[in-house]
Amino acid sequence: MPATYENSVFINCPFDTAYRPLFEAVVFSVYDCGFHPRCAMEGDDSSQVRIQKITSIIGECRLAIHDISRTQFDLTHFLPRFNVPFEFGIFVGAKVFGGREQRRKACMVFDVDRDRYKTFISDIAGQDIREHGHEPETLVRHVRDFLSGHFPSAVILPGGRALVERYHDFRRQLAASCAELRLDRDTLTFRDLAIMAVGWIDLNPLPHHALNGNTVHS
Amino acid sequence: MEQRVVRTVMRPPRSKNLTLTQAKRAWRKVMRDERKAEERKRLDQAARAGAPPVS
Repeated sequence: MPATYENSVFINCPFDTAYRPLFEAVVFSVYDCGFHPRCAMEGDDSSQVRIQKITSIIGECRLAIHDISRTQFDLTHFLPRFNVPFEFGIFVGAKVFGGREQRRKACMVFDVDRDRYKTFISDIAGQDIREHGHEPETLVRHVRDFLSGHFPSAVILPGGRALVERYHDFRRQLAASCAELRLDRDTLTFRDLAIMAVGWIDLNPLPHHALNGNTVHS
Repeated sequence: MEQRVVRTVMRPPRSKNLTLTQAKRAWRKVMRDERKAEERKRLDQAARAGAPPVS
């Protein structure tokens, strides 16, 4: 099944090197749950205005995963990076002011710990913020629990522990596969990472994958 | 003078992009190598323990 509004998940997170293991965990687990991750890093078209690309992707995704854990002081500029909260706001705006389909949007918000957001974005008080503590395994479990409630058909996804084991297998073998393809494992583009994840899942399928199928958004 | 029109058929350049087929081929090789390594390790352990290898 191709990516649709219903099964697409907007990944709104930092893209720096330190965040890389968490980013890989999110992309892999979204695919492994039978959904399609979308993010601002897909495609590579300098002629496209970034904000238009982001709003377009947000409009095409019913679900989203926002990670505001990097909203912190930068030691060089003494200012926080604010792209993630900004794009989270666009997603909420689409849900509040959009049409019938847009109003069905749902998202999950991550931070390092549950209460930190109150000091810089208290307007989202009352929302269920999940903490990942910078651990990819915790993130995989939360992503699984969130997406299991949004699977288009009545399906029970494998438990968090099973998906974490699969994520470990994927990561363990990723370096060797990248070497085989002469890819730089640490600087994989979103598209390449997506293809690697889909390829691995295709060769190690779970029953629910037959229902939703995986495609790569490039 | 009559001019000949020469048509050249341009082959599309090979895509530099990674394809799903390439990725799956690489995964298959890595998984096969890993299975072989595990099998070798198991045989080595069995040999060290003095037990006859079971295959």
